[in-house]
Amino acid sequence: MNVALRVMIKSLVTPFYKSHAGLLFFVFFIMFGIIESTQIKLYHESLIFGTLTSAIFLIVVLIVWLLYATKALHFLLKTSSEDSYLFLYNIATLPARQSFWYFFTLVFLTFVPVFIYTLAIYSIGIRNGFYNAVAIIFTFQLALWLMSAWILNHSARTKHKPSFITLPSLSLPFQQTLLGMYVAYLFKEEKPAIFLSKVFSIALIYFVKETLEVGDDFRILAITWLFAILSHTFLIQKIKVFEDQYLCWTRNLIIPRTQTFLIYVQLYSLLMIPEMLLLTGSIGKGLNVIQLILLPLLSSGFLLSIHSYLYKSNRDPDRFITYLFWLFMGCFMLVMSNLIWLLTIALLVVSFILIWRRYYKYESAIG
Amino acid sequence: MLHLTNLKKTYGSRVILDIPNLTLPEGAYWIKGNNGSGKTTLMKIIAGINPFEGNVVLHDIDLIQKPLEYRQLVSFAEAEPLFPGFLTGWDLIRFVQKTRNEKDDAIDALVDYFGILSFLPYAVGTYSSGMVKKLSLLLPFIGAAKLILLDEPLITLEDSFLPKLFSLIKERQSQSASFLLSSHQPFQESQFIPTSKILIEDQTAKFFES
Repeated sequence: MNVALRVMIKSLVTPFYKSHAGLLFFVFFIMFGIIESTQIKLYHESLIFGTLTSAIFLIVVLIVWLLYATKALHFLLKTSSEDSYLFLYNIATLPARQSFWYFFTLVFLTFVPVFIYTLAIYSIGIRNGFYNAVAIIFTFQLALWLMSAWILNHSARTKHKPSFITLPSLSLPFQQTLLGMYVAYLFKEEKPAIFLSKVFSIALIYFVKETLEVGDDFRILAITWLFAILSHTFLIQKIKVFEDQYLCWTRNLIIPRTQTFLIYVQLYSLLMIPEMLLLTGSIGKGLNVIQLILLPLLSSGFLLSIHSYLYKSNRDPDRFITYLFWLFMGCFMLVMSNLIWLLTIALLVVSFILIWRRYYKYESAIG
Repeated sequence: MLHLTNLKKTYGSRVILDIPNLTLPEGAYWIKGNNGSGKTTLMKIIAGINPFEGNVVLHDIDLIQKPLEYRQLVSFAEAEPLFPGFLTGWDLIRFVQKTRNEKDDAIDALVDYFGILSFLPYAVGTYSSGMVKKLSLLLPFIGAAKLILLDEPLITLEDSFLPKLFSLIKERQSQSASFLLSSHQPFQESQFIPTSKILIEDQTAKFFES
């Protein structure tokens, strides 16, 4: 493989998968983890037939792919514009067509998990004669890749020109506090990531909430809430990278570890406020007021368990996925056993102990 | 003032620093060393930013045993500071002011002294490297730290500001603050004469005169 392309893949595609491990795990779990092994083939055949035969279903699938492609494009654009990646703009010295194909390769590589599933759709579609749907899917994906590659190539070659798209910026009055800095980071720097995780979690909670009846078990919502939290795990990794890169100097300041921990609790509770507000209308149907208050604490405990894991020095990305899997499975089992209070307290206490022990021993690989 | 005992810093099997014993009385010290010798690592250890093995004690307060009390005594400016680009200079100053419990008057005087008032309302992401450096040099002077660590304070600063920086260092020294300054460039004797020079070499620290 060409050296320049290899460097680009190492600089952009590998960090993309590392940064989105949580999100990909969430999608993989939704697609394969919640179905009984004997039913998986039938389940996916039904999904694929639905995509090939129903126009509405197909549009929903295409929108999800569009969101994924937008997320990947945003990541590639943002990462490549960071100071430490400025060397990548040497790519602009190559002929335009060559650099375009390099970017096309990068875009395609970020799309591989979707593409593998699409191969199954093509296979079933062609065998059953759904040529039009297959052609639409092929054209749509190719257009996504070509457009993304064009935008990346154009961006690399026109760095001297001002951006034609500027997302609006929120002015937050409380960013002179550590909590405010984290909140400002999420809402100013990670708008697409927040949007994506919220689309997943709010849609999921909305659909489940609509099916609830008076007298339904709280565990239904608690399990749904766990899946909703899972779609936020990649934000925790982003927050940790932000901390390592830009807040390293705050470790020299007089901030007690208890205060740091409480800031995280507040941050992760605040993160789930939209979902909590969505559920206020369901009080009496599947949950009561106290259980509604419990849910953000459960989110805090779960997300803090991930954050405290990221305070482990020299961590291995593969082990992180394993940790995430067992953390989720453990939580799932305890929720099913109706031990939600115990689970929430245990997650918060263990996270506190881990952060207390690891905070000053941690050294970022970036800083 | 500062005692380092059996201080060891490793990255994997690579030993970066191994300082059996180093005692620094009050004063202003120039830390020298080649690139990669461990100057910044040593400063970050003393600042309480990087973990290490051994003991670091400042004015009889142990960094490991009393992390908060220790941090009240020490402040640090990085060689190449990185701040969140969306925060304004004021956001950062007010944040450090709160954690170090400094009065508004003292902050206003520092801002005026550094001559950075005009760009403080803007996001740090819009600053030049010199502006970021000045802001980062102001932050450790907030509060009443007994040991101020300045990593490469001379880089990216305009020449005209250097006499003001050294004058401030002298003023703080007269208020019993000590300094550790790392620099590849020699200091002009008319501006700054260190109490002593410390060479970081062969993974350890030693006093030297030449």
